Amino acid sequence: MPVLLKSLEVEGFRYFAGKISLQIGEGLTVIVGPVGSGKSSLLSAISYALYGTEPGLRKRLYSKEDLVNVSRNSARVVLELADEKGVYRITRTLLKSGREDVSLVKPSGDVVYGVRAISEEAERLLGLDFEEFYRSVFLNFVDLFLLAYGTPMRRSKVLDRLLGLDAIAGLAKSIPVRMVGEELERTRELYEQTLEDMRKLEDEVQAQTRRLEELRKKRGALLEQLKKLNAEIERLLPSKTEYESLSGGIKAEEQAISRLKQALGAKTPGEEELYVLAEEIKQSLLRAAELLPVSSELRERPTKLDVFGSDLRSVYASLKEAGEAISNEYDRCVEEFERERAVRLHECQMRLKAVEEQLIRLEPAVRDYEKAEQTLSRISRDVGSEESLRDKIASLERKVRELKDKLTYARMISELRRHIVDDLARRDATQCPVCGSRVDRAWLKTLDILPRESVPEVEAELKRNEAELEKYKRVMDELQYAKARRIELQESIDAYNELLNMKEEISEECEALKESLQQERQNYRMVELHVSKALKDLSQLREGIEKLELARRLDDLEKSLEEKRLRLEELFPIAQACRELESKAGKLREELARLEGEIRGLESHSPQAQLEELEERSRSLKERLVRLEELYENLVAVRSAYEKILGYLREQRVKELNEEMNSLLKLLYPYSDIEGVRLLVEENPKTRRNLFKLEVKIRGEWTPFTIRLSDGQKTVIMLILLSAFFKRLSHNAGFLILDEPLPNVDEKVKLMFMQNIFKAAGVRQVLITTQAEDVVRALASEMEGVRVVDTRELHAQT
Amino acid sequence: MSEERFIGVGVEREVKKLLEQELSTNPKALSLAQQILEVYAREGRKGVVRFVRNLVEGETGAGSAEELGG
Repeated sequence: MPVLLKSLEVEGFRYFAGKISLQIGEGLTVIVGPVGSGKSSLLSAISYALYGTEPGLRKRLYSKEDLVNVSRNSARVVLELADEKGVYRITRTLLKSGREDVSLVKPSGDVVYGVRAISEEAERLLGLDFEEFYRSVFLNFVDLFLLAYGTPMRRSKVLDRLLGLDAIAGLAKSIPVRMVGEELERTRELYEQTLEDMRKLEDEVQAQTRRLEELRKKRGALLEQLKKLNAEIERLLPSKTEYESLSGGIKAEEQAISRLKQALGAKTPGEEELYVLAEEIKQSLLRAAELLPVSSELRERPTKLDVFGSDLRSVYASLKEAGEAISNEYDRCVEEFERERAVRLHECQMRLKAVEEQLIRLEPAVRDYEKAEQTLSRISRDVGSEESLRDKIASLERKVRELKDKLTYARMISELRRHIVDDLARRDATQCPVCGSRVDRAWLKTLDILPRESVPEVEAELKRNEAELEKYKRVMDELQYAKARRIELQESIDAYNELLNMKEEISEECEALKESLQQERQNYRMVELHVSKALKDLSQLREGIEKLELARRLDDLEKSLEEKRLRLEELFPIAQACRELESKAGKLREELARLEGEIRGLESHSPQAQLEELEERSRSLKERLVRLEELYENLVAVRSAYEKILGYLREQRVKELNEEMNSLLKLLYPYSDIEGVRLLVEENPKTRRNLFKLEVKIRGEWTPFTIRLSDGQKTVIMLILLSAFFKRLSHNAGFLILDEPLPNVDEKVKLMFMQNIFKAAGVRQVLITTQAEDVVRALASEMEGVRVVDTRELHAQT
Repeated sequence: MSEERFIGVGVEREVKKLLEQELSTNPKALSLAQQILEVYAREGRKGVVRFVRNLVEGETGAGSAEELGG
């Protein structure tokens, strides 16, 4: 018994917010309702319950969470299926979060959990995976539309998909033979390149080995040659060493002679000349000794010297000793003389300085005395004698007293007059404040005729006299002070004059001392001249003696040098030969070192390791090449096999479908205008793609499907094609689901199709969705057991 | 959700039978074709490319590379 749908329960799924349930019996079940009322949601629920997915999800039109109704947090679908074993109950609960709980209760009562396990159980039960279920059991208007009205290419694609051939074609195309081929080519090129590198490297190794042998031979020959040269050099070496030593000695002596000649200068003094110079030195020393207060022993020392009877060196030594002694004595005497002279001069100068200091101290007193003298002289000149000055002062004192009395009287008269005049200005008569007599205004006339003394004039005269008196008094004071000061300073003046005399005497004494010392110094200068000359001549004598000795030494050196030069001439050819041999040996050693370096370089940089590496690489590449060649061949074979299978299956399917379609045409199409239908496979010569070509036979002639048929006829032919496909597919599904299958055919065609689809497709259940209520009514009236489910009523259940 | 497949179960079964006939004389190619079929059914074109790339690199992902001719 095939698997049939038994019932469906939906809650919160897509368009159904509430819980609805429907029983699906055998026969035709028509789900009717207007657009957007949830017809397709019910079909979608069946697919979801079975496989956990549905067409929209698989095409990624929306996500799984979108299956939950917008007003709910979860969706629940319960689908019951039945076969000969009993009822299978699949329950799927889907939360908004995407979490899903699934269970399947088997007829045995066993429960299976898990998304994957239940999908596999559904596949096993129906014998169809989702893709097959969707393209064979779940016939939808999209495919119908594309088949009926699509381009030949589109139609072919849909047919390939429905026949499951698109997957095989995709599989064949997916095999990356080209990529493997390219990789194979790359590997082959790499392998060949590696072999070429190896060949080059092997050539290099051989060349290096040859070069090494050649170098080693050359090194042996060089070593032998060098050994012989070294033996010859060893034989000649003592003569060469002597030659070089002599050569060095001669050079040193030549330099020494040159230095000696330079030191000797142009002229060498004679021995007689030096003796005369020594005698002159002796005389100079004797003259100096005579002028100096020295001991007799010192004076006799040059006297006893026999200059001409001694050798020059001892004469020079004696003269030098005597000269140094006399020079030292001279220094001592001069130092003593200078010291005494300085002391005596200092004493004299100190005394003079002491007198001068006393004179300086007395100078202010002398100046005061002179000033007092000048004051007295000036007063005497200006005002005369002291007696005359006294008389003038007495006269002026008397006059001042008289003027003061006169001023007092004048002021009193003036005040009395002003008082009486002021009183009489206010009244007619007043009383005299002096005598008490009555005075009236008539008296004023009398007052005017009284004599008047002028107060300002008296005051001016008084001031004048008082100033003059004061002046004379100051002169008198000055006179008396000057006289007193002169008496007071008289003693200092006497002392000052005495010191002046003393200073003059000491100055004369100092001058005499200086003159005496100058004379003595003159004597010492003479001694100094003798000593200096003696010492200078001594130096000249020493240089003369040294030059004389150097000239003798030069003679000796020149003789020795001549002998050495003769020996050098003898040794020269041997030394020259030895040097040439040594130079040759040096070049040989350099050549040997270069050879050794090259040998070491060749030995240490052998390409053997690189060669081994390349060999290893070539082995690895060879293995890879073999593997890739085999893989490439196998892949080519596999793709070829798939392409053959695809061709074979396509032919098989077409053959089967053609038989099935013609059989179904008779059952499902009520008219006789279409006599037959056939599917052909043609290859596009340009693209080499296989295209399906559908033809119908009308009045005995095969014509393309799209030309002669109406839209309704096209739809029917496509449904026949799909039904044929469903029928020939091996599966356990006893039901067929058609989503809006006949949108544009007449009632007769629909009725015939629905009545015969069970027999034609070999199913016991057909589930159809449609918006056409009149068709539903017609089906219900013409067919028995038609079950109508109105989605509006289903919504009313909630 | 049902595991996504790139080839139907029935078609896969049918192709397997035909492969055995077609490649009966070349067991290595047959084994390779079967493995490619399995990989394609599960993972599609990308899976096949990855599988073959592994074989190119000498990796033996779904079976012995040597057996598969690599």
